[in-house]
Amino acid sequence: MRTGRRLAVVLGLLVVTAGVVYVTPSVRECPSPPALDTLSAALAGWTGADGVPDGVLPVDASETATMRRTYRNGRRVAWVSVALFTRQDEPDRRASVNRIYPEKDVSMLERVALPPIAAVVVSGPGRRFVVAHWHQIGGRMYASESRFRLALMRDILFARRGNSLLVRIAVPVGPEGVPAALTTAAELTRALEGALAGRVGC
Amino acid sequence: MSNWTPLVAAEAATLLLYAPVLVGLAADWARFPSQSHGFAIPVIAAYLIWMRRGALAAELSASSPAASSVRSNVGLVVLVAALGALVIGSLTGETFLARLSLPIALLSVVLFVGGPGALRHLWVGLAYLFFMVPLPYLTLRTLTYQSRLLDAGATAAALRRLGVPVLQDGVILHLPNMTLEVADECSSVPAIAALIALGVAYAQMKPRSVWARGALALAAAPLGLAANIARLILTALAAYLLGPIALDNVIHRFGGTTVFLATMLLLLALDRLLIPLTRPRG
Repeated sequence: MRTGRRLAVVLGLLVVTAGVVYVTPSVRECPSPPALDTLSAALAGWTGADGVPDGVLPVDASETATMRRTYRNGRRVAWVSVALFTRQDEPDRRASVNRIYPEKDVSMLERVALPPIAAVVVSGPGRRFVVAHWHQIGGRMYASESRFRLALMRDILFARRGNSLLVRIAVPVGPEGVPAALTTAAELTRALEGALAGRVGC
Repeated sequence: MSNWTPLVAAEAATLLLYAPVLVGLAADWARFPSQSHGFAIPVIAAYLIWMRRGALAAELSASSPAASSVRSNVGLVVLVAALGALVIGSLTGETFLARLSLPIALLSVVLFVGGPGALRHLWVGLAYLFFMVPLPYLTLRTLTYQSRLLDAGATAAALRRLGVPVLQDGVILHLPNMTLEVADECSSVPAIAALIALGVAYAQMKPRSVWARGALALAAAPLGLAANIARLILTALAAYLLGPIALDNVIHRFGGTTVFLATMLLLLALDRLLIPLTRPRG
């Protein structure tokens, strides 16, 4: 192939790419976002009241809708946040990895196993708690941030949707230690899974 | 049409397609101090290409890419893959993917339009552009936290050896007179790409053996990490001896610049050490 023809091939490819990149519309906004605040305040023996301390589960400015509740069951307490993110083909509207658990006034972050979700023990001056969290696209739960990002890419490319939920459960570590806090988080995870079923579509 | 025209036109058109990606990159370089070395990378890359312009001119006038068309066609396959990555990265908002595809597209265009001979002279300068792409944030974030723990541990161990009573709690160091946090800004990981870029550029500046170049390029990152730990130890020691005033000095406030300059000095020292080892025996 002559050099002039090679140049023409390159220019043709660049024009086609520009067409795909700059003509393809952005993904559509979620037409009927799930009413997260209508999630039951009674969950498998737990009773919820509105509000969560921001220092425990930070608020993400990109959230489209959110439910933040403090749940109690006897002497046990847990903070729960369920947030909806939409049109995440725009990086600024994506759930931020910096806002899943607090990072200010924190001396240590330790990842702990809590399959099928992710969990981290947050330690700071005068406080220690577990934050269990997962992303959800449709009915599928993602503990790994990178697997979630891959699934989101697939959803944006092929289904032209960019919606997901971020579910977080924070449980203070008491005298019984981290295992007891993880058991509480696992119990609430199962309850929330059931409560969220059918509410994740847009 | 001169021998240069098709290659220059194809590269210019590629850069035009990537204009929004380049604007986004420049915005990040300006926004995040740890990425500000990005502005220097295209300039250094242009210099590396300029240094080889004579050899490239000779190559372009002597050969035709059609003579080695099979190898050149590999460039077409790679270009299609790079443009595919640009499409996926742009449509899904995965900026790292779109950015990473830029140097790959430029390299593949050289191979396809200019041929393997042109690529031999241009690859160093164009591949250098990889250093202008910030690492994916997820990776950077994990590495930064691990480096903060390592830095805090190394600083606490060094302070104990120096007779300073210190209690380490994760990334927090409790001294008798104050508490210090090894913060994100104290970690040298965000600057690691800049330090490696510095090492590679320094290694390319004058003729050296391949292994000396490799040693200089690879040494920049560990030297930078060591320089940063030394800076943290000095800062913590000064805080113990002098109090909070020690945190308000140039070395602490301009930590990135201090580490960059210290790494440069260590590279110069390493280069001096390597000279006798790379001299021909006789």
